Amino acid sequence: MTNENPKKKIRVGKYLLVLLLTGVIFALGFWLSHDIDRFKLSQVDNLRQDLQLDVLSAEVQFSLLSANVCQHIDSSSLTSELYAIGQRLGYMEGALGQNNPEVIRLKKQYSLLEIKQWQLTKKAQEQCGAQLIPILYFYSNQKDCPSCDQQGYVLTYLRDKYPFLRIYSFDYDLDLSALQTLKSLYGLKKELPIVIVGDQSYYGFRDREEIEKILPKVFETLKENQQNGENEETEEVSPQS
Amino acid sequence: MTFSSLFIYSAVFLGLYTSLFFILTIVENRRRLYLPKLKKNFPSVAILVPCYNEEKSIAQTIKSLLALDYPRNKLKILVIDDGSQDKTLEIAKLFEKQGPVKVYHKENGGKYTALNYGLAHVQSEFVGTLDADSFVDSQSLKTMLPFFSSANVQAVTSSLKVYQPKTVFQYLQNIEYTFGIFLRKTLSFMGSIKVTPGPLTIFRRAVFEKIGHYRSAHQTEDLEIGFRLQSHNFQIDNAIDAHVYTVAPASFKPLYKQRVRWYQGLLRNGWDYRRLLNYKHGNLGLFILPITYLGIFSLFSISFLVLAQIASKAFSAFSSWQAIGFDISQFQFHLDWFFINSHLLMFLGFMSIIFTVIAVFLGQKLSKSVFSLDFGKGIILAALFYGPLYFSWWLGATTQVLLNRHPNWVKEKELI
Repeated sequence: MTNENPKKKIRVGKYLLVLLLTGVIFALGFWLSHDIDRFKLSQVDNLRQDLQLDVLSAEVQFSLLSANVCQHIDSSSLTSELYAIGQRLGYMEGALGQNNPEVIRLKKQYSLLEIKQWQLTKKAQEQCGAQLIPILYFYSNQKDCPSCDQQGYVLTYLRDKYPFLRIYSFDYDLDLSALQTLKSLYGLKKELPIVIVGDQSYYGFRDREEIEKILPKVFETLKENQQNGENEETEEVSPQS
Repeated sequence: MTFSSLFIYSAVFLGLYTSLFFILTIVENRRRLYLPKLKKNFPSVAILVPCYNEEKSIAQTIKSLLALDYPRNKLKILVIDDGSQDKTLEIAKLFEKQGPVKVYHKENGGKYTALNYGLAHVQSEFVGTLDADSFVDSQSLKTMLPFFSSANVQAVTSSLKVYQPKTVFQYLQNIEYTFGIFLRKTLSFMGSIKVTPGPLTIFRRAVFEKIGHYRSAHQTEDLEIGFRLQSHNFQIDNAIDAHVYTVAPASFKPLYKQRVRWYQGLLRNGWDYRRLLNYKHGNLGLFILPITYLGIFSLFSISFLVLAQIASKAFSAFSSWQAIGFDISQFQFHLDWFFINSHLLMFLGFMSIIFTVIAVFLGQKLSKSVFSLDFGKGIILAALFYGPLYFSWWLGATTQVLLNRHPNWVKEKELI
């Protein structure tokens, strides 16, 4: 190559300067996305704290107004808050990873709140005859449950279609003692997905129609239980009158 | 961090690095973008117009050359009909009486043979090439020739624009060409232009004696001659304010054929000239060529990753549909800022888009062109469709190379 092309000449300084500038943009991006993620997590935490207050207040209401409790309990707002947290938590789980310690901590607290709410719903159902059906749903994020996604779609769909359904979903593998107790209460085996409607546990994927068929039966048992309860009360009351 | 995300980050890093490098190059050379027009001492110039079945555009091409603001006694126009089967020859002959036009006819042998035929018939100091579907601006010669004042400059390219875009595909190419204008000027400052486009490049005629004539070059002779000039360390410059308009393919199929031909040419000539991948070739060998090939590799890898993601999303939508049946509520969409992805890649992707838009706008502004409504339409279309189109062209070109197939240029012409 005898010819000279001065424009081809490599200027190391320029290459390094651009490297520095690109590095700065990258660092800015890292910092920005990290900050936004932190902000989002704190938002989930705020929601959780609000819900914790609401659950506590509902519990206090129960104990204060033992007679008129049924007129004052309205669980729909609690439920929608719970769903909002669940949805956001699911998103953060996707963004930050299932093993992020912050995500796991929030998930545990969320599961505890779900158990508490489930208890409240059962109370409202038993004591006030609330027309609500709680459903417990156990899933896994590991690869051992290929149909969990589908089951999730079915339950979300049913939840939107039937406002009387209250769905509480739990990560089967979450290391939380209260969750272990709940699992042993129903004597659950790890055959996921598990859907518990009424007192009956269903193992394996259940499609929309199957669950829709179960619902009226649950309502019937619910009514029967309530009637039996009322009869018992009348029987107890009648001797005094 | 998984391997695929590491790869994507590296690709995005390189992309950003390149964009910044280019923009910085233009900024630091902002006072050297233009040269004053040639006003005296006009050298002799011959323009070669190879043509094959160009009856629709040849008349306008010759008229645009006749309208060049250049002394008649210094200009020659050589129309070389490469065995056309339509009325190209007859139409071209009509212009022979008008001053500097000379029409030749030869048997069909491919564009490079027509160019060499023309080269054999010129004695001028400079020789230009112009495709028969392109039209020059009257000032282009006076704008381009001053760049030869530097002794090592052997070729000067122009600013290529789409002629009167009318279809969606032409609007889109208009933006792409505008980006090309920015790119070519930037590369000229780095001594790294690797294509001397058929639509108007001017060469010193003597250079063909040093490096030889045109070659078949996998049907991309304008790319090969660029590579060849670079391999001899000759300088290729660019006159950004010399405008040439070319008729761009109007629909998908001819555009696809054209691009497959171009890109297989880049792959094959790139392989033939792999010796250029050497730091001894400066910016070209160390940066521009490696980034070009890495870019193609990244295009494939990222496109396949995106396709895999789309497939997995479609699969989950399908299983949702299977599980609960069709329901209109599935299509309700609630915008909640919480669910907007704040991922680093989104930010970097956004930055890359900004840099690309800056480059396109610079291309338009520096070539002293006006911003029109069509330009706006093109920007939107390019933003939406350029990615998948570009991927399809490269996929076609790579498949051809891997299967050792060669494009049929004659058929491509029939489509246009």
